[in-house]
Amino acid sequence: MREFLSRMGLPLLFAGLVLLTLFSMVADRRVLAGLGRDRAIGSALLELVVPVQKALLFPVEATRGVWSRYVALVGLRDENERLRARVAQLEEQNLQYAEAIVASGNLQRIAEMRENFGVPLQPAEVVGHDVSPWFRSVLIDRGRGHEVSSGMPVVTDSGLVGLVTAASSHAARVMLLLDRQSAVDGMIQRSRARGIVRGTGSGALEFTFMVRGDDVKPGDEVITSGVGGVHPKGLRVGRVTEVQADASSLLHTATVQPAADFGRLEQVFVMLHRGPTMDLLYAGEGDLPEESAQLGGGARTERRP
Amino acid sequence: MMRPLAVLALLGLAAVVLQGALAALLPPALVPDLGLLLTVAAAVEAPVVGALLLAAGLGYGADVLSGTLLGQFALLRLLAFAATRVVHAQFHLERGLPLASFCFALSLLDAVGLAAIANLFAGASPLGLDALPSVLGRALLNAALAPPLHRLVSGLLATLQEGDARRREVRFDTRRRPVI
Repeated sequence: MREFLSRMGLPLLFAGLVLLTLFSMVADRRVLAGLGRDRAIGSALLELVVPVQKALLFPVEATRGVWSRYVALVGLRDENERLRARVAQLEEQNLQYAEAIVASGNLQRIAEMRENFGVPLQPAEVVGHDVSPWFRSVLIDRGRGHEVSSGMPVVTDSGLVGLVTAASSHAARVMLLLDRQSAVDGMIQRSRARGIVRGTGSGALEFTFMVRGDDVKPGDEVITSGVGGVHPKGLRVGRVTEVQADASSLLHTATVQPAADFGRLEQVFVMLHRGPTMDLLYAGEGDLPEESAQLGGGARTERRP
Repeated sequence: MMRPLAVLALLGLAAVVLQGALAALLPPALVPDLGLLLTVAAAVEAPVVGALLLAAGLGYGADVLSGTLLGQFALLRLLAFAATRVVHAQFHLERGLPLASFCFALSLLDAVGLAAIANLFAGASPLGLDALPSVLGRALLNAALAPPLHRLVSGLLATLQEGDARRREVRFDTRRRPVI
């Protein structure tokens, strides 16, 4: 027996580990598809990830900080004198602007968005990025404890960012629009031409649309169509920068510059509402926020009760 | 056995942290796959069971910190470990050129494997043909970094073994009967 183990121990360990990876992939797939009920392991791992991801961000932030401080040192004396003069001036203006700031800029846009879609928004901080360059996802510091669950759209004041794909008590993973596995049903705001917006893995998106009768031009705004019940209708996705017209193909594609600035993603808002499709997909996850459950259908015209 | 494992685990953690930081700063072609390189270096130099466990640990670590299915990178790392052991039995992967060539080929196969597994289990691949330049660039970078990382791992492990051997010698000497 001992001889057998010493001879076959390593192959058996290898085979066991391979089987474990296959099992975990199948289990994870089943959970994502809503077939599994138990997310305990996935949630626990996600909880563990948050401090690790914060540790990952530390060297990045430190590098950025050192760089910016170094750049700031160039011409520091002149800038310092100029800034002292400006401080006195700005302090006086500050009081007057305080009220105006609340009513303008990002906050107003967020407030408008909340009004338009009739969905409560949960602010969240981005605490980590994907370690693999081939996947585009971020980790946020809000989870099921804050009514965030899988299948909820994530936005900024500029537009759509992505979709929550996994959530634990205090964290959630968001698949960005840029990920190649991301696809959003969108349409051109001007001509109402419909198509699919896909991630390309790079900084741009790809809008695939039917050729016949569809009018798509550079500069057109792309918004979510609301079809499919994943995202509410009317969320800004991006702007068409280039149309690739191939006369021989039935489907044309256009390059879309995302509305959200993914390079500087720090604060995002989770729309606390899952569309009917996502409700079906993530049926096993449960714990839908009461308000979201009441909103149910996902039509943009619905208002909070 | 335990000390090399602990050192490898620390190296793995450092690799994940560094790779995460680089992935946030640089384009994909300039982000080396430190997990893969460490798996290869450990498969060549470290005790075989420790290297196997490290491969699985690095893979699962990357899975948890990435948008993949749980187990996707772990499977790839285990296959990379097995491929390294098989190739190492035929070629001297301790040497720079064979190791660099092997890591180049392995990086390309790793990308193909990642796309294939994602297609099989998730129905969509994170990599397309347009990512080919990035994949090639990353493979070249991995090839360039493989020999120095291998030297680092082998140097660390040799230092540990030397220390262990010295400690054993001392223990042996103290058990000797006094000559007089």
